[in-house]
Amino acid sequence: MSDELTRLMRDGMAAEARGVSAGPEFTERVIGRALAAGGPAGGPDRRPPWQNWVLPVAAAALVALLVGSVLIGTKLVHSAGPASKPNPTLSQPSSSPSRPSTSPSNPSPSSTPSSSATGQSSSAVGGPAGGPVPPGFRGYDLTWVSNDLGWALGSAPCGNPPCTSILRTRDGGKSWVGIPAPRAFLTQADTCTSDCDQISHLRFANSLVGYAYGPNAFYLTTDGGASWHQQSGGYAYGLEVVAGSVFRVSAQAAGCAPGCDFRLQRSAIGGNSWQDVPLPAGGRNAAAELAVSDRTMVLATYGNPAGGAEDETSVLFISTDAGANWHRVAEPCPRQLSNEVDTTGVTVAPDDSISLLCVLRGPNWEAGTVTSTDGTHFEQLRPAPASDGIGAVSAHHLYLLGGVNGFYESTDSGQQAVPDGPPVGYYIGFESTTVGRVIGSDHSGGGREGTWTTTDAGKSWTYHPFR
Amino acid sequence: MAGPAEFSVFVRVHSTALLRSAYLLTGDRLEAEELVQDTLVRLYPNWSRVVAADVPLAYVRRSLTNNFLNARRRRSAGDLLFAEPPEQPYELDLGSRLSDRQLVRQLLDGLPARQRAVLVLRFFEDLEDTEIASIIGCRRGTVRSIISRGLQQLRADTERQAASRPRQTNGNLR
Repeated sequence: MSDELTRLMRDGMAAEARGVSAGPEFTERVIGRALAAGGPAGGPDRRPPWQNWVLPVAAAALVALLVGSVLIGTKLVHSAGPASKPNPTLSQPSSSPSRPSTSPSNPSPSSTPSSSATGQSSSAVGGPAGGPVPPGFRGYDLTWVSNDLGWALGSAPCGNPPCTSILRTRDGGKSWVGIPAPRAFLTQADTCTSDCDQISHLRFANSLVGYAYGPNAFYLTTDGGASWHQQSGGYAYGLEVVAGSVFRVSAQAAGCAPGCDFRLQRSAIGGNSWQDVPLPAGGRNAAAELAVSDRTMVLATYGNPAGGAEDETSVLFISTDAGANWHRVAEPCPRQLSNEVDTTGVTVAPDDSISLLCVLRGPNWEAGTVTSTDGTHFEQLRPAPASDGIGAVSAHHLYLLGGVNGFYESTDSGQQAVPDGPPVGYYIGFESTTVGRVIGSDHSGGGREGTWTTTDAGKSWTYHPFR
Repeated sequence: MAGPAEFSVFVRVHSTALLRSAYLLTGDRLEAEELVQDTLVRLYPNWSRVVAADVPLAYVRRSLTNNFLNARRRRSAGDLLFAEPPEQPYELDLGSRLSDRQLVRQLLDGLPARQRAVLVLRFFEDLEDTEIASIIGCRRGTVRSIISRGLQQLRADTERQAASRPRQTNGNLR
């Protein structure tokens, strides 16, 4: 009887706990709060076992309950930042009622000027002239339509939340200005305890048309960010622009995770009519992300992250013809012995190769990468440092963010930390075979205060603060 | 170096495990999030101490439990640890069949903070008596006593539930 009671107690607690998972919003909030509160003091430099550079896959011990859904907090998209698998339990229940769109010539009630960017008129090249960068701005996402023209989505301290801010650069990140932002909370930075609009990502299709979106809010600008208009009933789990069309990851309802029936929709740039894109059946339902190059697209759908004992493998839907045809690929990260290995990040390089960040389920968070050059067959797992995200210059030239050294490069000749690169990275994306960006700090700090840019395929990286 | 990247990786990897422990301790999702956040924010300035531990996660869990107990202690000075814990008033819904999960939840909800923490540390964290005693700050015998009393309470609950369950014969309820 005592054994039975012990079992009942253990099972009961495990079942009770399984219903709780930490999502990316929560983890990013905790990280943000801790970093804002103060940096670590010096101390012994002793690496814990989960920070090994080499991946001893065969020796990795699994403790399934410890792994669980934490893996959801780690993914990057080719053109996206370190967005994480949206967490089912932290998603807002539904979008709030849509607000009426406002005329670009009229100060929009759905837009909050970033700092003193208010009242700026559009310049000749499109978009508002902009104002100063809000003090304390921290970036979370980047989007570029050329080597010079780009935007950063972030947050800056303010007295009247939401404090979401958008910056724009016209010189490749050397200088930035603040422009108006949607009046919505930023999921990575803000705590929203009631039913409020939240965005997490920003994408511009060209110099005028852009989208700010999240699991329960969707805003469109057609004037370069001078005004933002909330789209009725809109939300997106991912959005990218490919071959003149906008693709967004939708589902049956806002905030549906972990029971989402993810689907892909297509629209003309700036349009408000979205058509479903036919996909093969059999996706996963807990989270999704979209990664693209000029022609290759990957919609990664992830299994239920709750519990830890459940299957967390992924299913990918891949198109190599700009979204015209799609095929389904079951979890490409190969099992190691009897241990499950899950995709936690996906990137598509400018050469159309697809690379995945794989994580071995277990307490040590061992990682690896796999790459496909044809969208169907993935090469053997290559051990890698535990990382938060992945970016790729080409099939065999990868970058990993996170881990103990912050930034790693992997080429055919091996893997190494990049000491002259960003010490901490929160976003990585390559716009071409030579140009790539990372959000990070300089070597004196530990935040998201600037961008690191390479224009020579990673041979050198240059830091520019958000100012 | 125990820097922000190292801290960020730790949080992303272990936040669910910590949140689950916190949830079992507090019984409330929002309170659990606050507990985890508060614990990690407090630890971050001395993160090198955490990573220097043999098992960093265990170090953080210990801190999490202490934070929980300290918060409860501030909330109620009457929440004391007894060598022989008193019986807790405990209302069980006898009218329905309860799952293991519901039984355990009701049991935990009826316990003072320290006794609840002891059961969570034993049956969820799988810690030994001595480790639990060290975290809670009591004798090993006290830990055993609390665990024994918890199991007795659970036994009583299951028996009461079994006795109240209607019998079924040939598909018809009597």
